[in-house]
Amino acid sequence: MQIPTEWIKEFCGFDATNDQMANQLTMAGVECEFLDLSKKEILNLSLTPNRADCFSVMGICRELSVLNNLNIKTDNNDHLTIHHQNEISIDIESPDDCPVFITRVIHKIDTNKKTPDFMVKRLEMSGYKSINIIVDITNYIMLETGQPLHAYDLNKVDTKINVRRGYNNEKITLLDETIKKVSQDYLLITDSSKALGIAGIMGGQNSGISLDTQSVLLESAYFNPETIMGRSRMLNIHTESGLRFERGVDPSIQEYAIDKATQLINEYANGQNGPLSIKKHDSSIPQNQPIMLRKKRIHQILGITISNFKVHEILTKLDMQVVEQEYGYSGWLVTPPSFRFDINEECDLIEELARIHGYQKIGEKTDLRKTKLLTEAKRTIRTNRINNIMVSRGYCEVINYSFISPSMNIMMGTNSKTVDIQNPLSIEMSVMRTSLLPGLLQNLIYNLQRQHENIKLFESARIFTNNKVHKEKDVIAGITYGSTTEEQWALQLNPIDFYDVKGDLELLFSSLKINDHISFLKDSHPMLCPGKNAKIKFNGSTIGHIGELNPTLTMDLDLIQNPILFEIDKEYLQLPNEENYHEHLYFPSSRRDISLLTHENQEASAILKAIEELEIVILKKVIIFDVYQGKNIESGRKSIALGLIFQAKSRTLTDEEIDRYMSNIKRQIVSYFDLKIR
Amino acid sequence: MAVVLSDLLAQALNEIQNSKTLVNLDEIRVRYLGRKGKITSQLRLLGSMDPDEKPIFGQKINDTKKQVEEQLELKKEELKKLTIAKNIKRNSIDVTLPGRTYFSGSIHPITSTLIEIENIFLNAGFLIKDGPEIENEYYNFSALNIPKNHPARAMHDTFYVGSDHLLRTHTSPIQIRSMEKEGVPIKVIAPGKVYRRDSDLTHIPMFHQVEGLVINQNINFSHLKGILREFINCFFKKDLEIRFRPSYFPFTEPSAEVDILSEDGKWLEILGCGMVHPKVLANLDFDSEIYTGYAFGMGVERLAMLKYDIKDIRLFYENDLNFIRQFN
Repeated sequence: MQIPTEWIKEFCGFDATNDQMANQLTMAGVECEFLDLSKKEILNLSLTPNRADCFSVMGICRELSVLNNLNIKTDNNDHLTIHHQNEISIDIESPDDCPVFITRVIHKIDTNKKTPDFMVKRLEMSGYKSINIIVDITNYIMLETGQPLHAYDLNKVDTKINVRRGYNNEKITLLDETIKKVSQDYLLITDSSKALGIAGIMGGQNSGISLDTQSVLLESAYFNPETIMGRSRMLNIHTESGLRFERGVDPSIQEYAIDKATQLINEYANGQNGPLSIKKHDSSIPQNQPIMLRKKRIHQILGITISNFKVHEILTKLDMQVVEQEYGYSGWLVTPPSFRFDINEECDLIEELARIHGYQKIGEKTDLRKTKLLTEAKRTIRTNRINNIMVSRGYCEVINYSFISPSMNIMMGTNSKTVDIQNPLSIEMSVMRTSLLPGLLQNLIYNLQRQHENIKLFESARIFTNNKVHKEKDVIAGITYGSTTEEQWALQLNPIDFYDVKGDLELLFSSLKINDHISFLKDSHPMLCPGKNAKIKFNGSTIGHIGELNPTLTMDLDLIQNPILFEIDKEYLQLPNEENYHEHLYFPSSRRDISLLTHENQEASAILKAIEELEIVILKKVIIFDVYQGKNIESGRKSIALGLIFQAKSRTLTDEEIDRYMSNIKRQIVSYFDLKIR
Repeated sequence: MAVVLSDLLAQALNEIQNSKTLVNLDEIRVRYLGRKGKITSQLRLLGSMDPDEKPIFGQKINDTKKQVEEQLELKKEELKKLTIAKNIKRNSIDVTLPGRTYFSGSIHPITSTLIEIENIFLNAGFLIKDGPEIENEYYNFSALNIPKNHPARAMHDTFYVGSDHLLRTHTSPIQIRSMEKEGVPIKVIAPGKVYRRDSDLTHIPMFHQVEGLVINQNINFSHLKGILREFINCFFKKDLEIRFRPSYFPFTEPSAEVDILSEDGKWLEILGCGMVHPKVLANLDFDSEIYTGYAFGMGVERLAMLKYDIKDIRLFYENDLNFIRQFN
């Protein structure tokens, strides 16, 4: 809402600067700033949903008068003469929805009359275009009093007004020419043959004011906020009237507002008014109940003591009825005014005291009591350790939106069901991702298009699947492309391959001391390239994948090289419970090399496993120092060279001893595999 | 005999003088002073000598040996220096050439801002809690005193993923879950991604929040003010002027916004907070007469923007390496 400061000043006599006005209001919880900082003539107010009472010049003036002891100008409407006795009969079907409904017939209106300049100016400064004298006056009164009014062309309304709930699938054409389908959830203003408008939100096209209008039916109503709440959003029509009614209009000002509007219509459009037709259902009008306010509770919540005198003074200024009570301790019985819909409990009163007294008057204390021992540091260490490894290996972290386009998700080739957003911003952001890889591919392409050549990215986030229940899982994923280093004189450029990335992951696993549980097994993930495609296992469970991008996708995406991708379930990347020191060995180690000639599809890990089975305690480590295929090796075979390192804890090993073990090893692998020892 | 010895000496000294390499010098040493060397072998003559001459000749041999050894040593030092000098000359490098570099990665500014926020609160004794990103109406709204159709829901444009399920619009549901699970007293922060159906120059549909909750006996508004000033000073690493002004959140009463005074004299809103609404506590069956508490919530993107002076929130999710690599 925006309001010219001049209007506010006229209404309550505030005589300090506009800056002070804005500052006072902001610090009292009515946040505002100037629309144009160079002029400082118009306040732009960001009202919180609880402060319906501030939705008018009058409301803002009430706030200022509490803070500055001012008196608000109230007009006396008594002198309104009645020109005729025409009325229209009103039937309210559900008084709980509409406890107050006041109308008045005004004849002999000249809608061609020009809206007076002062009104046009104030409306424009408040963000309203001048439309015609009648609409302008209703808007003007709404801005001034907070009471939305509606004017119907009387000739387009038949004999009787009926306020009722809509029928299912009932259609109505609104003033903005949109057609809306309503239901029993909506309250309608109707006559005996048609709907005239959606109560509190927008009038219908068929009964609107035009330049031919000669008689109007002016409506000033109070609708129950519950009846209006959320309806605008459901219909997607946002009106000033709807905004006010759903937050709460003062149920006591309908007569005041309609009288004021009548006066202006008479004055500026030659109107001749009839009497007020008042339908009021007193028991449905909200009555603010007295609330008990305890002095000690004020201190319990705010941490300060406000004197009894001050409490009384603040609440009285806020138009509350205050009765001091002795409950064995000091307290008050406080009844809020009709325009406050946000004060229902003791804590609401305490907030009122705090905001008028001033938040700045409350001190600052620190309470460093710990509620539990600090075990949470582990979480930070784990995150840091994982992040540090990724960064040290050259990966840049990215963060992508959790929602992606269905086609990106299909690219993954997996058939896990997705969590779909019912009201997405666009199709591109309509399903929750089941993998981080599509996003990383997009990041890769985006950056390649911006002339980056060597790219290593990772993301750590949640993925979502939908197997009857929604499941969420934290994963870490990465993508690499280009060379292992930037181009430079002192290093040869090598394309990043599977083993570079596998090495990065192995470092990650060993930093978490879980590498003994991890194995890489050949796999056929559809997004990855057959033959360069592995699943990562933690003991028996598959926890992730690594591989080159499937060449079909590489081609579809116009990439020159196959990116390497990985994704791992983060649940398995936990810090070790214990990080024990192992005694290191002092006696010298001995190394023996052997070269094996084997089938080209022989997996190296199987050979290492066969050696491991022998459980040779002094065999400390086996290095694969060469894998060769090509010249001097017959086709279909490859050579694998192993370096075996022996070391004992308490003595220097003898050659004979090592030779004995070496022949065991050779015997074992020759019997297990189709291979020759060279 | 003596003539021979002096000739040998002259010969040896001459050879030493003309020697060019350490290897050659060592050959000379062996030739003269080795076990079968020319000078050493003179000792054999001692056996056939007069007992009177023996000591004299012996002394001479020793003197000769000593002289040769001295010269050898001198020459060795000279040649060593020469060799090193030559090597140095040959092996000099261009120290101005750049060193070998390998990629260094970077952490996304949102992650590092989050970690920084978490660490400040960890030091103040808060625990960190996680929760689901897909929530239901109860945890996201009802439990937080935001009933259906409440105007406050307009502030939370929501993505729905099922009749009762939605993408959480704030991390407050984590606080409800933590209280349900662990009861009170409680002192936690809840960091994470949140979603709002909003997208323009200054709004993005996914962002990060850190919310905090403290419930205990004798907790009041002044504690809230105290912890938040500590936090703000720690985060910005200076004593900033801050103000608390009244605001509205359905789950706190009183509620406040916290602004900091920027260098150009403008107040910048940085977080929302308040005293936990008694209804929220009552919903969870806690006695709000005994327990009181405060809650606060902040947008991580906003804090990161202030910290790094980033003007456009959308930069965070473009993932452009030119942007991201600045945060290594």
